[in-house]
Amino acid sequence: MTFNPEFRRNLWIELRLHRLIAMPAIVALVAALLISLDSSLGILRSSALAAFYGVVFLWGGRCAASAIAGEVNGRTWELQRMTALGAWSMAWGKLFGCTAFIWYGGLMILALFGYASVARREMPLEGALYFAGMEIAAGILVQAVALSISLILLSKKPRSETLPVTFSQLIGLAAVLVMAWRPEFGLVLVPRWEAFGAASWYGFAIQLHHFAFASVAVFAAWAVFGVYRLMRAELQFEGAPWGWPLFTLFVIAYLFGFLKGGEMFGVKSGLVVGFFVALAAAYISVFADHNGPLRYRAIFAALEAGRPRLALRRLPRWLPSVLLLAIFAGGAMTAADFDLFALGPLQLRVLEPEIGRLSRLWVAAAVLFALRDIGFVLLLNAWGHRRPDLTAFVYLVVLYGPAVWLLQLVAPQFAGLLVALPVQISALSPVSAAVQAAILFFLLLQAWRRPQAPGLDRKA
Amino acid sequence: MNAEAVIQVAGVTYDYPGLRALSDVGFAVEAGSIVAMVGANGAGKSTLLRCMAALDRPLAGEIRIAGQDVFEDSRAAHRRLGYLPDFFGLYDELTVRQCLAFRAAALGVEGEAQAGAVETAARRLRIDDRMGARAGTLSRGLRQRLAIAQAIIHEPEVLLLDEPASGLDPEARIGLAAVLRALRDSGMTLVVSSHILAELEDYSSHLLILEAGRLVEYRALDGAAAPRASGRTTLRLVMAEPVEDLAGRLAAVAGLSRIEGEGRIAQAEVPADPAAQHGILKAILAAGLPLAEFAPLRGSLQDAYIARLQTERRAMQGDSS
Repeated sequence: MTFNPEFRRNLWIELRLHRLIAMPAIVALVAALLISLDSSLGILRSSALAAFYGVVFLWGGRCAASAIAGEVNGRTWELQRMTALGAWSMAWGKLFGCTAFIWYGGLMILALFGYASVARREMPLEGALYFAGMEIAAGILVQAVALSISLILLSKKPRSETLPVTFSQLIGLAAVLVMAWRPEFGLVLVPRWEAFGAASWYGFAIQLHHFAFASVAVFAAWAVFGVYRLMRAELQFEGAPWGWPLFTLFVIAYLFGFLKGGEMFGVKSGLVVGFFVALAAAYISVFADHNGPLRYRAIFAALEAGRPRLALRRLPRWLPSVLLLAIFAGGAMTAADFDLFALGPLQLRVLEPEIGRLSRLWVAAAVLFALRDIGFVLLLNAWGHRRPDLTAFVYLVVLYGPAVWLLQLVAPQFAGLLVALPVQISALSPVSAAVQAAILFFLLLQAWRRPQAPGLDRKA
Repeated sequence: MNAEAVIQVAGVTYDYPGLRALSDVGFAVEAGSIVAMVGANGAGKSTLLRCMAALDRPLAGEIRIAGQDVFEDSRAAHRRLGYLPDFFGLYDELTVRQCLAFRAAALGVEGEAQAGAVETAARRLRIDDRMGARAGTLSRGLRQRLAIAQAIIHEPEVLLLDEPASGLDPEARIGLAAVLRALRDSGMTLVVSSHILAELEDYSSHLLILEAGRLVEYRALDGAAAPRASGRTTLRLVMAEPVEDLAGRLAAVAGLSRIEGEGRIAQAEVPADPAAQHGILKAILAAGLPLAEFAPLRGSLQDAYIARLQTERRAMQGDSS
């Protein structure tokens, strides 16, 4: 079996002899200093934990984001795309290769933390090993998400000569913070080994340490899978966009496990949770897609050439996401007048009691307004706006924030015609949303079908 | 499509937002050719090469390299073609040997064959004495040779080069021409894009002209200007010494027409028939002119390009008016 050439290339660059010597020397020196300051190892333990987060999460996330950005900026990425390497080899070769030095140092630091924890009797050896596993999984999660975001940014600007790093790094860090969404899941970031009790998931009582570890590991695996899927697209392996909808279904199933009961009542709750997750997934997917007009023109061209399979492979991710949203919206409408507070552990804490009920009108309006918003994002892209996604995002934030707030003050009866507000919803809300969406998609079709002027191309 | 061609391009159309970069481009390249792809900046040369290298998928059309549809299985196509973009794309931190070994492995050259491929490519490009040097420390000429070595390390059937001589000094350009000829002689088919026509002239066998995204000409270059439909061709006449009123004295010779020139050098149209040309040669000598050279006027690549482009632009202006 041939060693992954991409991984080997990264090792050549990352693991130079002087770095291999310098890292343990520095770690040992700092550890000796900290032990001399506090022989009870308390400072060593807390410093090692902070250093691990700094090295693996902060620096590692940046390295992972730079794995693609560095190649784009160094103009080597085009030749990488010319290799005969498969997407999986390229994905793991980059993810684990460009962070090899990070892990070399990070694992040393983690070992120091485990040693100090066990020596201070803050956790048994079993606890230290669990925690090490969880932190390694969390590190992979951060780095894989950062690399995924880099690949998404690249796909949105296919012939860009520069690619930002910090944004991808920050989203990677956000991913691990989201994992600590429940207070008891905070042990992903703050290691403790006292009796926490059990997590209730699909009616099973699972020891919380085990559950948190498994959750982080599974989401890290999804993030690596995301890198692989995005790499496939980047390397011209076209395929139908089923990865994102599959992940959306997984998140729904994962969250559904937390609902109390799990019987008939649970099915309705599941549909409602599915609706909210699918709604969020549809918005995320449209911002994550490359929505230039040429993509859609290529889909029409494939259809006109009688090649539906090619058209299917060129479909954007938001389309199946919207389909999934429509399915769950249909399901959620069967659960009309559903009390959102019945979601129990998942309840939307921001809701006031009087708006805590889900109505059919609101669900229909929310789906149609989402379609309107998606159409708006696509239209700015089709019109060749300079920064279409950022502009659309700002407009939508203004619409859903200050504009609606002001409208509620001066003319509250019209607020429900612009956004899906639970309190101002009326029979006209879905109608208004449908008309707005129809206008935007009509303009969109016109823009996509605009003929191209023959002219000069840009230099690659 | 021509089944014997090693490169087959059919109906390729490529769009950028707001403009059409390639419009229904189609041609076929026979094995062993060196195609000079010429055109003004922005004519679509780089875009066409990127499509041929399966880096960008066109809106419509089909591209086959050695019979392989490059978009159906781009990985397989990459094993059969090499591509040198207009930048070198080298990892500056790696040594020459590491650059070549990585590229060989990434292109599917594995095991013992890999070391041999590295040595062979380095020797062909005459960089085998720099194997331990970091790529970032090499001169521009050497970096370019390393980049070509990377592109050919898997012995591709087709090599695509985008502006390979850009930024090279004259000596390095001459070296590049020798390298490209050697690659052609080893059986590779090359497509070389450039807007510096003089550098293509030495080694190209075919001319492909792009103008505003359209293929306006693709033909073999045999060096000599082809006889025109009138059955006449143009000769270059060089005297041993300057002749007063050279054009007037040549006009007195039967069979010569469209005479231009003064001093020692002139050009004139003659019948394409060799026997008629022999008669004209005797008549010039009989007229007492000190003729030293009597040969077909070799049309330069630049002449061919400019003439074709002017014809194309006149036709386009005619269409638009």
